[in-house]
Amino acid sequence: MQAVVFHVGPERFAIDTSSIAEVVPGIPARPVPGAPEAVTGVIEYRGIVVPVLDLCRLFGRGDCPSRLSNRIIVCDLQRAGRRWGEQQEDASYLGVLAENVTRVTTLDPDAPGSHPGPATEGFDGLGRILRDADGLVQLVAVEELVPADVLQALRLQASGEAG
Amino acid sequence: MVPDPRPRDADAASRLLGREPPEAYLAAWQRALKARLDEDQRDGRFSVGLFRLGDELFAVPTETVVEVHPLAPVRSVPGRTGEVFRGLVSLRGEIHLCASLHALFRLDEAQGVSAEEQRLLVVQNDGQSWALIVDEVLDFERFDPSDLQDAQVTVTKSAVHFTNGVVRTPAGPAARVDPGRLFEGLGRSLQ
Repeated sequence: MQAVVFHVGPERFAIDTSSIAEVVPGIPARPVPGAPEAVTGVIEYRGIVVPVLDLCRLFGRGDCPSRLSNRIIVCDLQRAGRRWGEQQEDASYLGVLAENVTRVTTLDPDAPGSHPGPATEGFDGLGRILRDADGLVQLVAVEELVPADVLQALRLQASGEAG
Repeated sequence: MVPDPRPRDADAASRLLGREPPEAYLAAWQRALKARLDEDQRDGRFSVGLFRLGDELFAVPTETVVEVHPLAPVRSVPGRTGEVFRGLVSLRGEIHLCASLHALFRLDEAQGVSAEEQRLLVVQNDGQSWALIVDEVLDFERFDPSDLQDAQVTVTKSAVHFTNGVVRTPAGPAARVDPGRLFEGLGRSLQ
């Protein structure tokens, strides 16, 4: 599995590339008043308005420091059967702001010696913890990571017939 | 102490990436990301390199341009060098055939153009490459099909044969050079 590796503070996490549309520089987002704290705002991405989630804030580490290596990982949640709003045309991109997004590596989620990850409170999307040459890295499933209240605030819907 | 296994380049890179991003960099990306991907690839959009011969502007498809060089010494080839084929130039260790577009298009040699402004425009088509002496290389730009007109009126008659239309550019109308005919003409100069 190919994964984009990023940092939140000193810790390393990885997102499966198959759910990623593009990785773009950490451009400033337009704040949305009253949005959940972890949502820094929205960006204009290729003709689509995309909400941006700050992983540093989500993980309780304050704002992402402003760095050249910050990236917004644009994830396509449609591939996980989700979209924004009730209309079929609504896009389903979510931007994930993270630090030090500098590497794509091949990870083996089933590697012997990895750990399924301790149960976490509030986050469902934090997955297995693996080892690679640079240390430990934890897999992140974006569509499950975002807490239910944030998702609701972002009006995320299942894109099935019932949605 | 355990030596740091990382190479020094990695340290330098992480220092660079840890810096505050320049504002202009983010603003440029913000603009670039606004545009839909397909806006750049709309039907018929084409990209050309604009160059000048005397007072006339010409456009050559960007995909045929390999590079642009300052004018370099041209070595003449006895028995071959003529008005169009000027000889050989060595550009970064590669030998290129060199031609005068002025002569090929039968334009008057420009008055008062210094060798400093002149450029060698290296073009390639079907595996052949030529270094062409031009008076100035202005820019590479994209145009809409609506910017393209028929050639006949504004282009010097002798050059019309080598062109396939006129592109309206901010710097004025530029005759679009047809690479096929251009290379055919250049090839003839060798015979």
